[in-house]
Amino acid sequence: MASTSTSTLSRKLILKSSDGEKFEVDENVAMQSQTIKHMIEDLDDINSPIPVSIVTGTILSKVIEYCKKHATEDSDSDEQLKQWDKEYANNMDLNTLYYLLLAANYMEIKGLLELITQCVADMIKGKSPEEIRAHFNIKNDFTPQEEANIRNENPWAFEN
Amino acid sequence: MAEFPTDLLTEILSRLPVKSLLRCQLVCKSWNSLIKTPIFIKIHLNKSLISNSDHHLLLFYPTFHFSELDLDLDPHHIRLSFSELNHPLKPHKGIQLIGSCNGVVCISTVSKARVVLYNPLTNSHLKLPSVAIPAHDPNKMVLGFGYDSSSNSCKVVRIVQGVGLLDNTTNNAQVYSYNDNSWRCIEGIPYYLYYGYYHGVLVNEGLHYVVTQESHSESLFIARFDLATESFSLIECPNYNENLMSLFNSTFLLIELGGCLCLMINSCRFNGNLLDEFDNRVLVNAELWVMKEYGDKESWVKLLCISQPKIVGIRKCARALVYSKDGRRVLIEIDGLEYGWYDLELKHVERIAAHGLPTEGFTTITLLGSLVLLEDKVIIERKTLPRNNKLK
Repeated sequence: MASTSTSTLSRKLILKSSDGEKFEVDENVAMQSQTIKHMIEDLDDINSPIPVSIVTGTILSKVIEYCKKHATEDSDSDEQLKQWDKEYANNMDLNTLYYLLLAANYMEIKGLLELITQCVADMIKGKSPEEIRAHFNIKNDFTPQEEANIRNENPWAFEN
Repeated sequence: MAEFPTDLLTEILSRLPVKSLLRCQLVCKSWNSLIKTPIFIKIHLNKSLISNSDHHLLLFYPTFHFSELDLDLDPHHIRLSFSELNHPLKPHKGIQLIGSCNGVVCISTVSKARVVLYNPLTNSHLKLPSVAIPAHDPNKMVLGFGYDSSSNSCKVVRIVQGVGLLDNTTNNAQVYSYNDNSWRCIEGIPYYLYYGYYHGVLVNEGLHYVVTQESHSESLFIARFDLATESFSLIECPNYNENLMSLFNSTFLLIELGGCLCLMINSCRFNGNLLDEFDNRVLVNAELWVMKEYGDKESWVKLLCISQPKIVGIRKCARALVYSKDGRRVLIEIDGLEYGWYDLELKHVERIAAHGLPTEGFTTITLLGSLVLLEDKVIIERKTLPRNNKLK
């Protein structure tokens, strides 16, 4: 059984991605995921790999990169950490962001979830409906009449 | 990339300002219907209240204008661009701004007989029923608008006070509650309103008015009308320099700034002809007091003092509106004609470029962007709004 004594801080856990890739991480890194935290509370043998079933190895390695950075609280100032977060998110393509968002949601990592949702929100902000559709590859399912009606409800929002 | 699951899409979109959300409604049908749901509107409002983003300025007189105010920008880069709004009290002129809360403004006609709740960003509005009790020649009639979390309803209060020549006094008050959509009589205010035209200032779910405890007294207090209990209580004013105030003609304005109750005092001297009072007013001192701890009179702090207004070019009055994001500046309305940032460290004013301002004196309030829907029978009959979205 997992205990909360300080000696557990250096314990290692093995996370296993959906495509079978294994990652050895410090317990305090993995514990940032509420889902994993709950899983190891119920686990008898902490040495067996913990399956992170819907997350691929590529995405899981990014998640771990984030958790590692945020596990060591006092090494960086808030400002430095914010800068790191920004660069971390800006280096992802949209597809990676999408799967990272699903992973953060599934693994319940609050900080990562907030970072990615804000990053996607910032992509939408300032764009026209056409630009948003193109960016996220969304099909326009309105008729021209419906579209005109919505525009007329609040014309100010469509001016630049 | 597949579609975002609804809960994650909600999480993303609820971080956006109203302008972006109105654009998102045009992206596709699923985004459109998500943004219109009452639960999304509520989540979005709560997020905006916490992040304190998406500000707008509203100004009245003689027409109603609004501008976006992006406080995320560096204060030096903020430009204001006002455009006229098609408000629901048209063609009435001389609209009064009563107050703003959760993205909704309360406006009224000059006579205050017609009162409307209005979300200027989405055009959703609700005309309040008329008050059954007529106000017979009151010399003072003020309103106030705010949200009461205990009853989960927004409320409008009307305070009527008049002293006739034969000492025949009028003193009554009514409260409108959104949930009941009706007015109720309540106990009148147990103090004397100092001004008959400044509406209630909302802080901490209470509406605030400058009052005196005795008729014709110059000893000022602040009355709080509690939106939950619907009763009045007194708050003490800061220890401002009474000599200065008695030497000059001073105006005491209550203001909400960063969630705190503030008192702004503009002291003027008159030049020349007293008949043309406003034009001959010259500001000699403007100061802003902040009550850091609500209700604790020891916590009043003088935040800013402009004692040589000539240098900064303020002629008649200054009114604080909102802090910059970093809290080092305060946006002020200058002479009811323009805007500027007051730098709290450097103690100087920097004008802001603003387009589309009216040339006459105006009054500004700040508005938080929200999608809050107001039920209005006229609108529902036109079937442009869902039926069951209440202001929550």
